[in-house]
Amino acid sequence: MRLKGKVAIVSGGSSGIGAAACRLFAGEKAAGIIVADINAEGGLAVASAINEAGGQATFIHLDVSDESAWRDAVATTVSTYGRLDITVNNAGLSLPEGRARIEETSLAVWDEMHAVNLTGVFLGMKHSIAPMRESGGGSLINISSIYGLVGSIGSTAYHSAKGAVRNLTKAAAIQYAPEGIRANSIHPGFADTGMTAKLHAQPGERAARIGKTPIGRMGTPEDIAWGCVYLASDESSFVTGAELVIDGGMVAQ
Amino acid sequence: MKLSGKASLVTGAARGIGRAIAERLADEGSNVALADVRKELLADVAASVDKKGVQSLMIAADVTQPTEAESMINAVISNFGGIDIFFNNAGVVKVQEFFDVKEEDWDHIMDVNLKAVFFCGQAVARHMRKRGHGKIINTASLAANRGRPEMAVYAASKSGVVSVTRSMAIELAETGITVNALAPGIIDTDMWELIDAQSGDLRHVAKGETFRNRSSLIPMKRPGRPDEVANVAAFLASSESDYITGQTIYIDGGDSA
Repeated sequence: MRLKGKVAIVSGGSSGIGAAACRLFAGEKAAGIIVADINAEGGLAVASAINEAGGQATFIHLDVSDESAWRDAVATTVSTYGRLDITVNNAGLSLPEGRARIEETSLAVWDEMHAVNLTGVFLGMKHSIAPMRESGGGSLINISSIYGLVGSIGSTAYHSAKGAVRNLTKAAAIQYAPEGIRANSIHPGFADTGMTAKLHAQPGERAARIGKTPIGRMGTPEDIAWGCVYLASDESSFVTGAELVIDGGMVAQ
Repeated sequence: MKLSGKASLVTGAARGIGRAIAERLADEGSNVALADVRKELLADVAASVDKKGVQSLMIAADVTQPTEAESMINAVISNFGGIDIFFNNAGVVKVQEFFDVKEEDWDHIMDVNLKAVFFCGQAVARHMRKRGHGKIINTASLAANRGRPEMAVYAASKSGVVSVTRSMAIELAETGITVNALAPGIIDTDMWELIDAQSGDLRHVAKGETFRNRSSLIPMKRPGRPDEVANVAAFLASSESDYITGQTIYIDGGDSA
């Protein structure tokens, strides 16, 4: 009942962390959940499972890098459920060609990864703020990464975009704190999700990542999604501009 | 009721954030041992915990005294059968100019805020390690990563708490124990009443003015409430946060952003 009466948009809601967040939000009795994604098949399945269990969810096709798509998504949210309280900017992209050093990163890959991972977050916040103001406040939850906090041997564009999400979140927190709109970032460590499935299927990759994680296991989508529930609920009413790192001890090292 | 059947120990439980944490843990179904150096203040908290249908246990303990800390821990284990959740929360503050800080001031603040956090954490972790699980949550502060005029020792002690939290988390990661810290910003508590009074004396400003001025600088334009810190505490004490360790969570209305 922690989200009773609240309406949420979850971008990238069709799989992984986003889908887990939608399910947990439904379990906490959110009044409406917009499962927003480019993957219609997965998103429709997430929404219908929630509806069959007595919740309220709607799938919307959303390319987060498209500003007019965001306008439509927010308008549909408000016309369907009457308000907006929570936006989880979760849609993310990690291209295999993006796991490269600076010299080997093409401008096209750089642009595409920033379009989803950074511009998508900017647009999601930009268009959520007005309806949140109408609701008397709201919670913006931006999924960054431990790669937004530290460097690694590759993943140039991903580090850049996720690092920018971290600080863009703090800017939003300061700008909108007086209006009761909170903004926080979540920094997942290595986790088994749709986005990492291919990489983790390569020999040795998954074991190497677990080896680097003090707790000795991969994160689950639910591990991260519980953080979303906390930041979405009124339990975090004095928390804004903060970073919630959920990484099994990875960056404490 | 995400903590049904759990056993918790909170130090500095008589007032402020510690009290709010104890009450919130009780709301979630945990039995709560309340430790404080001022036991006379605990009866009220215990009554409030009991009303929620769980067990309370009052313990007089000065956490800086190893023998008292040990009997505190043993008392919880013998009464509740173990410790699942430990809030290393007791803390002290003194507002004074840098040039006025004496060695005994340094020692007292460091003993309570850092040394006791380390050694109480060590003693509780020894017990938790045998059981293969546990949650240790230390109280740090927004002051941990900021310069704090007239509170240099306090700020240093809290930086130490953040550091110890990280190191303990890694060393204990494979034992099933997670270690995290809370970092409250400006919270409406007895400790802030003391800071306000001491700052007022030092700077010759009226009672309440330091607190009001400082609160007006928070992006949210208000101080936090102890229950808002206790909400994070409940999250860190529950299985919802099982993959979080070594972290310091800020509850500060945007102050550190």
